Amino acid sequence: MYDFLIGPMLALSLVVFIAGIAYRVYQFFSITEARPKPEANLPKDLARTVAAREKDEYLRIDSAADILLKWKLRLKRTILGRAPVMSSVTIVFHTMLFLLPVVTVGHSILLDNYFGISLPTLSETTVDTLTLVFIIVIFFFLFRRIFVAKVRSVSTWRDYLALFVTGAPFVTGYMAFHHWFDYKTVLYIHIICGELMLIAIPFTKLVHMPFFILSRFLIRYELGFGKGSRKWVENT
Amino acid sequence: MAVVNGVDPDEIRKLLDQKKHMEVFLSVCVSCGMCADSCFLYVNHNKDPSYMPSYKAVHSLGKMYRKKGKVTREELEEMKELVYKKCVLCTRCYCPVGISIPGMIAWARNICRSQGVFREYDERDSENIEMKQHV
Ligand code: HEM
Ligand code: HEM
Ligand code: SF4
Ligand code: SF4
Repeated sequence: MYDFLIGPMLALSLVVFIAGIAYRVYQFFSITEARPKPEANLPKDLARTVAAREKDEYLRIDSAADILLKWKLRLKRTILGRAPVMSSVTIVFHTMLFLLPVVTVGHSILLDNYFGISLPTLSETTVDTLTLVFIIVIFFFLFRRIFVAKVRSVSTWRDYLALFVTGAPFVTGYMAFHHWFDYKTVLYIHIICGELMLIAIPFTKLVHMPFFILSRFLIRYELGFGKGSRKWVENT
Repeated sequence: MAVVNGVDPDEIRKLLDQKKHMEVFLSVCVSCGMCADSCFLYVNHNKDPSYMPSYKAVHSLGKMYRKKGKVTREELEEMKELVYKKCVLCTRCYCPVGISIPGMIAWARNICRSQGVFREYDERDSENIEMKQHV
């Protein structure tokens, strides 16, 4: 059973995960197109204004206070400045989501055995504490979804499914580490949950992982991070 | 398919198919509710959830995609309020994931209009009457 779970089953979930993400990236490029650059032949003074806007240079900087003000205004335009609590929580959540599976001692041994990759790990107690923090954050999201009116009004089963699929590997990993119930059974369930999460990423709303990067860096719009070289295709 | 009860699902379907990216938007929305406070209508209506940008998109265009265009007349009439009255298409909504909501609401309007559902400017509802009293 164990050999199957960390052999063919792991290979299968990795293949589905990678192929699924690749398909989503392909899909993104098929529903977007390269954007013509009309600002290239604007009159000179207009072009200067556009360039200033791109570089965010409206404000004359004469003192340190101006720099602070500029950053304050910048921040106010983003989710970080508008919803600082929720932003901090979600940054902690997503950082741990990527970090914890990589630095877990148990995983590191597996990776070393399989691929000969040895990554740095954190001590078992640190990982364990952070896992507990992560689980608390998962419950914070769950309660928020149930009790905050605006979030509840757009929640359906798919949102609870995504939360469950994301939380399950951490909860079961925690249980395995503490040898709650039968260790072997819990570990098997943990591995299955971890693999299900990988499989679920391309097919549930967890697909926001590649989408976020593609949309906010490649699409040209007010909130983009990058230069914005593409736009959505209309009327396909 | 024939026109059923004043709704032409084929035509709706055709319009939906023209905006593939909007179907993708609806599938990546994490329903986090972070767009709510960027909408001044939401903020100025006692934070009534039905004014939240993603609520308006999911319950209009989202519903049309889910039902593959087979929406009823009653459902279109319900959407009318959401897409015409509860959004002014000011394009200020902020979504951290990178979804563009006003375009979806505008397209939902377009589809409603194709079925003869549009804003009636001489409509007398309680809100309008109240406003007239102030003038
Ligand atoms: C896919 C195959 C996976 C295998 C074979 C696996 C295996 C293991 C093993 C052997 C442990 C150590 C248990 C112990 O110390 O006794 C562990 C712990 C852990 N796993 Fe996994 N795991 C997998 C996937 C995942 C995934 C996808 C995640 C999260 C995204 C995850 C999160 C964790 C965490 C957070 C712990 C540490 C729990 C703690 O120390 O409190 N695992 N896993
Ligand atoms: C580069 C990668 C990613 C980025 C930039 C990203 C970004 C975001 C953002 C902006 C939100 C909305 C704010 C919030 O509700 O917390 C969110 C929510 C969420 N993300 Fe991610 N995400 C990424 C990867 C992932 C992955 C890999 C998973 C799971 C395997 C995941 C699971 C979730 C879940 C479950 C929520 C919803 C929390 C709720 O119910 O409110 N994310 N993500
Ligand atoms: S902020 Fe974006 S992802 Fe979150 S609910 Fe609104 S539209 Fe959906
Ligand atoms: S476009 Fe509509 S939903 Fe978005 S902020 Fe303006 S009124 Fe609100």
